Amino acid sequence: MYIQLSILAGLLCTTLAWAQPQQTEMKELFAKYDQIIEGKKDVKALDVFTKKFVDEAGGEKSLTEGWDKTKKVVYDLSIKPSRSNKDLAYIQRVPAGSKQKAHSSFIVVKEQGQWRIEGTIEDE
Amino acid sequence: MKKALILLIMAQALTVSAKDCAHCVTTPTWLSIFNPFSLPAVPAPEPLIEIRTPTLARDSGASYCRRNTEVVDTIVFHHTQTPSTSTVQNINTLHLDRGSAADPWLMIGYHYTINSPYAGGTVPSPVVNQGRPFNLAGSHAGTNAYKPAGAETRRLMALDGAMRCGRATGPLTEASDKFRDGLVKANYNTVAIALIGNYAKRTTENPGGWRANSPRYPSASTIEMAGKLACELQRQHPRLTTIKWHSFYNATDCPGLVKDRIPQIKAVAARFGCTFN
Ligand SMILES: [Zn+2]
Repeated sequence: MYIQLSILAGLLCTTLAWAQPQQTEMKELFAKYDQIIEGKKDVKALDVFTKKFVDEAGGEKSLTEGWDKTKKVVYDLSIKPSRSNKDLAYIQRVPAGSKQKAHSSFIVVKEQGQWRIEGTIEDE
Repeated sequence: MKKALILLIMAQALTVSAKDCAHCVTTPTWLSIFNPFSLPAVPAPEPLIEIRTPTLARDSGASYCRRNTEVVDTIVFHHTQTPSTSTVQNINTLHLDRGSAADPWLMIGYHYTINSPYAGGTVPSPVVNQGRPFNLAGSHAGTNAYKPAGAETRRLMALDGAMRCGRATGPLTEASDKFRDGLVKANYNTVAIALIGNYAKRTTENPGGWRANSPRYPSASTIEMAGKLACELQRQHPRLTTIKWHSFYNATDCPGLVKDRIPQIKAVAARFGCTFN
């Protein structure tokens, strides 16, 4: 009985883990994104963004170069999985501890097994 | 005898007119020359633009508000902040994920989208698509956005039947949130036009925005299309006489540099005989 329940619980956890982007995965992705903004050369645009987004932005350089130098900010991430597509989610980030509301969301999609930023969309 | 003859002629004229004139049964033919009500109707002007009506998925469990379209007095411009190659279907799919599982959005929050190719882009020309139907309140200005409105809009909004809300599966009841401190809920008296594209400056929250040395404005053909759409909507809904933009209602970067082109959009509308505040 316990074994059966454990298997069921395990399956449920596996399904949930597979179905939704995890906080750690998103933290890693956005840590790389922040490195691009900071001008770290060892992170490539395609490590962070989808190919479609890179192409539409005008190529690798247009996304990795020319960022204004800004003070490093620690963000809180909120993840909202799509209700209809397991490979799509929305991320909002606001400075940690702040009560401010994000007015746009990052669209993240799974591309070849890896989560990547596909762009943004304005919020209401 | 003379009098009787005149009466007979008049009676005959009445009979003939009743038989021959289906739309003016009670008006004698000999009178119609002088009767402005029986003149042929002036044909409706040709639409200024083609508004496509794609089939868009809806969430059958969502709540929505059906409105008296007379309450709508303001156009609100947005940009989607997505790539300019996104489609109305893409935006609809993304908006269907809005709200909560218990209270999802019905469909795309904007009433109209304009595909707005950037200079040198691959989309050949701007196209207008219908999003959410005009007679349904949109989801675009901010749920908690309330603004002053004119006396007539407030009067119409106060009437029972102005804004009936509920779920598709249940009855619609009059909205209880039409006013707050004398202000009108912005989503209720406005219609949303979104330019598909990203016209805001690049920031850490908007990596697809324009870079400091190359601001991105909507193209001349997009402005032309936006002005024509605004005018076409005013022709259909004469109380629609104000144009605003999203950041008028909320602390947001939307619609980026589209806001700077509102005077040009109004100027295009004026060329076609429409006046906007
Ligand atoms: Zn907006």
